[in-house]
Amino acid sequence: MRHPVYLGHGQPPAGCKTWGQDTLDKNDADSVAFFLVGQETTEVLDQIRHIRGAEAPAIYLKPIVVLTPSASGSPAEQAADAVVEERTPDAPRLERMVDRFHPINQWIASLERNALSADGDPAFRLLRFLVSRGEEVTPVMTTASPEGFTYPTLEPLISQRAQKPSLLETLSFLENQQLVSGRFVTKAHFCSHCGSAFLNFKEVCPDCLSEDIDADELIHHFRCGHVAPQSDFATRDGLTCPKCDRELRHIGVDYDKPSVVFQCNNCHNRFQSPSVVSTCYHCERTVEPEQQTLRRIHAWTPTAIGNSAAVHGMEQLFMRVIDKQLNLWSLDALKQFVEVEKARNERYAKSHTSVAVLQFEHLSEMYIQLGRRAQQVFAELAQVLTSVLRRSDIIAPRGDSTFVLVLPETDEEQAQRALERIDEGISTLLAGNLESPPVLRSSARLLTAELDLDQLVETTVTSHG
Amino acid sequence: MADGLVHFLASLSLAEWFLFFWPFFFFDFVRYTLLDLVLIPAFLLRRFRERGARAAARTRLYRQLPLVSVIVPGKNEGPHLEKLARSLLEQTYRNIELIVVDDGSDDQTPAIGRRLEAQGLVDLFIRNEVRGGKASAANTALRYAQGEFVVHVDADSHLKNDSIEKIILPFMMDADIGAVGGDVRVANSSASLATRAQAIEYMKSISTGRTVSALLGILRIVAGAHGAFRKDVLDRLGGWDVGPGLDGDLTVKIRKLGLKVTHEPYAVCYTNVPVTFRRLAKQRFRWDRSLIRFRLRKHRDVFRPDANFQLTNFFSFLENTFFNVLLNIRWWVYVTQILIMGHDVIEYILLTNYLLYLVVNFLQFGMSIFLYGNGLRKAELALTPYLFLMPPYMGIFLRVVRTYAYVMEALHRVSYRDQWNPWKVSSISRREDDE
Ligand SMILES: [Zn+2]
Ligand SMILES: [Zn+2]
Ligand SMILES: [Zn+2]
Repeated sequence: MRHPVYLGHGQPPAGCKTWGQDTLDKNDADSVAFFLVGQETTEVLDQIRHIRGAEAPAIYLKPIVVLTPSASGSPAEQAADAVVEERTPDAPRLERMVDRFHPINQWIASLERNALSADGDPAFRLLRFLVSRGEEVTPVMTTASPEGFTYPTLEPLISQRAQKPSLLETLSFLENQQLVSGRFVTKAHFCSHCGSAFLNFKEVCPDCLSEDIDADELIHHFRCGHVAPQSDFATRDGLTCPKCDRELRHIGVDYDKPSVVFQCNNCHNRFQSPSVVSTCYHCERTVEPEQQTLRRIHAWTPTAIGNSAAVHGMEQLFMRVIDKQLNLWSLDALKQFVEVEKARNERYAKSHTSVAVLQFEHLSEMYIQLGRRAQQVFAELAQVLTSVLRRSDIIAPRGDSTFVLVLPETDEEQAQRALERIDEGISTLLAGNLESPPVLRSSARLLTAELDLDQLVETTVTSHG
Repeated sequence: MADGLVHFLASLSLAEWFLFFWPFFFFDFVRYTLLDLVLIPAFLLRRFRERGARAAARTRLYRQLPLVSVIVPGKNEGPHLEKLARSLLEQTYRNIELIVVDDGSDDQTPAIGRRLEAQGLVDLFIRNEVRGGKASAANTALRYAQGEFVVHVDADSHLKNDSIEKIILPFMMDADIGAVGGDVRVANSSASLATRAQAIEYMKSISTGRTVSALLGILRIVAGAHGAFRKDVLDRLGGWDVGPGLDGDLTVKIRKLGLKVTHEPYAVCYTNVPVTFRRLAKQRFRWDRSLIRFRLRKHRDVFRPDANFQLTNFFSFLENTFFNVLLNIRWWVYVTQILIMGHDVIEYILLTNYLLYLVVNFLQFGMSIFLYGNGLRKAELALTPYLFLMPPYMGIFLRVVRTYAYVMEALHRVSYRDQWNPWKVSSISRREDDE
């Protein structure tokens, strides 16, 4: 049975437990139905950020409810899952909220035990949050962020982190990975230099680039054919033609306005098509609007791949690519095959079969670094494996980043050499592309009756760690 | 036939000569040929005497270097603009600004204009989204012109390299000159029979015709295709007025200010003329029908002696009205007279008229060539064989078109619905006149 947890000062509402803020990680996260925060508006946002910044999914994904005497649409209220306009809500009301958040808590609980450990990657945390809520998040205009747009519920997940990448960048990264899909909402210009959304667009003189220009509307008096700027016609009572002295009464009947001509007060140039420039409020750089970044602002929902990646981790994607190219066996099937080989080798003493283990460490970091190129690079990684392995070799995944290989008619030395070639190929491929290429761990053994496959895997994976 | 003709002519008494050929002797020969023969040499002689003053004026011009605003109003003229702009780059006179007004084009003109403006070939390109008519487009350009002089040029033409210098010089020589008409010659003369006929016609009616009119002080038109104005004079008059024949109208207003209007035959602009007779007829119909309205309605005050009255203006109008309207009626009178009195010798009368007018055409053509001097081009000389076409072209084709135009104008006042002006502008000026 989960229950609300009150984070705050003073007496908790009935039926709530009180946690100290500092003890977030030390309590039983599974028992939390939702966090109640409230009263002091200035602190509430900090509290929400604190929760959303926790390491454990069982904490940072939990629903948050803000208690407030009167809702004002503050950033904290927007960031929360719900707002209760009461200082001390009664127990039935809290129970209804427990029920309401049940599906979210259910989903969090369904995450595999090992997947519930720390989530470091901000993109992954965003994805998990989106999937856990199962609702579209929509952009909100804001002057509080230099990006000009924010997603209030997502913002606390990112704000604790280093400034780069920003919330909008992280979301577009997830989109590139096809983990979330966007619905177009609006478009906005951003400073191509600093990314700020606060740009001042101005019409300027195309000759001297002065901003001090005036627009004159031309007036054409039908009767006498006179054409001049409106200022020439303006009198105290309205419009009078300076050529024929007649009053201009009705636009479309007496006169019309065929065009607009600009006048530069700096160089006195006249022109009809002024240049447009934009100046960034933040870095004060002035460039032509075409050189600024025009981005589409979306509302986001997780995709089917995103839903699955949120549960199983992002490395899943790597497996999918490898599977397509290498025709992976299941680990169980591989183990059965190993038993068959053991027997065969025993019978025909001349035969040698080797087994090998390959582990990519920091695969998820590589994934983040590669961004939209990840899929392609993974495909090339798989290519390296296919070029080294023979058709008779068997490969099966173990977990997200470890592979077990069976190499028939191969002695240990040959197997070692194959692993070296894989290592070499992968290093060449990644060296130029990544700041921190994944560490490749591998080991090979001759398949003997005594060999324990699980133990070999275990030692390979942990030998350096 | 030839024998018959000789016999017929030999049998005519002096009185009969005038009876059968009075239009030729009393009008065309006197007005258009005899005057040419006397006045063109007189013009060249005066020109020769003034050569010192002209050289001094030229020095003055190049010392003062007044800005000249070339204005080009028009609709859907984009394709011609670059050639015109480049002909301005090659001018001997360099202090020129080019202002193009696009009067609501519905083709590529705005894009072409903006490109030329960005390239610096056009100094100011104004696009009027709403079409306002030729006068308003010219007035828009005038409002933004900064030059001391304004040269109005049609987009469908290009200037000879010393044309701007030549058309501005008269202003430097005589402070009383308000407008100078430039010479208009045919650029596409070799395109068809129709363009050749027009080329010869332009030589005699514009080059020599307007030179003679200017010398007599009765020049009545400064061509829109190529005309220079003092900017201050245009500003005083408020620029161009609405309606057909606006070039002639403006010239009249300048004369009313007491300023002189002259023609400069050596400031040359080459223009493209209609290639088929059908399109030529349409163009002339549009031009001709404006006459009655502007001479007889709008400026009827010149016939009334009052404060504004000036003798030369009066004669200019009289001459124009007389030779255009009355002589047109006279032509039909003549045709009727011949059909009644000379129906048995009609072929001889026609043939004699043809020969008389042919001789006149050769004389006039010779005068034009004499006037052009070393400015003569091969293309103009190559027109000589086509002089044989001119009597029927001038005497029948243009007369029929003109008569039709006058009748239409007089009966239906069609010019108020001039196609060039948007309906709203035409309807206003029609209402105006009815008041
Ligand atoms: Zn007016
Ligand atoms: Zn300027
Ligand atoms: Zn910036």
